[in-house]
Amino acid sequence: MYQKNKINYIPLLTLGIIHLFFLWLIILPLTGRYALLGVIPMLGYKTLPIKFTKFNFLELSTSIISFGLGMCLTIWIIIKLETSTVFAAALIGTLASFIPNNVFGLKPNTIQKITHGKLAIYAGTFAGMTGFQYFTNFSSIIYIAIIGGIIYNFLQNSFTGLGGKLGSIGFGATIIYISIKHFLS
Amino acid sequence: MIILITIICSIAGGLGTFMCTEKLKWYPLKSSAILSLVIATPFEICNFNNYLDIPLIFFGASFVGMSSNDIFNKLQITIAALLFGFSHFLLSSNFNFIGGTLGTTACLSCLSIIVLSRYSKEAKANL
Repeated sequence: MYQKNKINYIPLLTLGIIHLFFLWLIILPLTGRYALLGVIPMLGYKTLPIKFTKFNFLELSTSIISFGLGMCLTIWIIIKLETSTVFAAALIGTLASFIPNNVFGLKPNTIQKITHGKLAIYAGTFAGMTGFQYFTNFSSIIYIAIIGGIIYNFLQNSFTGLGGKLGSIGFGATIIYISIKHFLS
Repeated sequence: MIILITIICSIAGGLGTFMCTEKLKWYPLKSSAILSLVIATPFEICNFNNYLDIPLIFFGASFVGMSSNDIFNKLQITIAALLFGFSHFLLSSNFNFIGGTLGTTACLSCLSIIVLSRYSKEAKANL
């Protein structure tokens, strides 16, 4: 059904690594060896579409900017309006969902890019829900946005129709940044 | 009481989002964000300090509902949302304010249902 070649393993590995981080850092401390059961859902990867996205600088830049925008706006709303993280993320998601993507005259390729931009904004809002203790300065937000944009770019055409994919991207971006920072310090 | 709230919120979040996408032909992003905003707004206005988990569980379960109806049916979404609620109940104490934990829990719940339905189909076929 889907052409399997070496390069298709990149999205598979990306999501797999994010989920392994989740099992290791969130589930393992609470459940001990039972965390190994969390590997079972990963068997479901192969039933979903996995397609590698060819490198395109414009697409990658759009993903990084959209992810960063979603993240920054969420943080800004939480700080300025003193709202809960859920309210801020849902508000940004709602506003993004009203960006028109099927305006008359646009090429299908452009429409797809706008749709991906909106989804990257929503993925960014999840990273923006992270506690402020992890954002030591503005550069940490930029690094997370870059990591998130790259992960989104890898996964944008894979695992379509799987709920929670955007949340996994948000988690992946945050946890990879925190881990790198912890490792380097 | 907490378990009952978790069950109701997770089913409402998951199934509500899925139904909005299916029946109203909204994009999954729109369904999830609007429904979560509607649920979260009263909690911003009024002080429901004892029930602050409600918007959080609803929001997380709405990610389950963002799944495609080509892969999941209503029953599978309901079970996946319940599994999400159960996982959230067990794991939320260790989320440590890291963004995306709700979404990752929802993703693993959806994947569990995919694996479960696939192997139950294979088991039925072997009978």
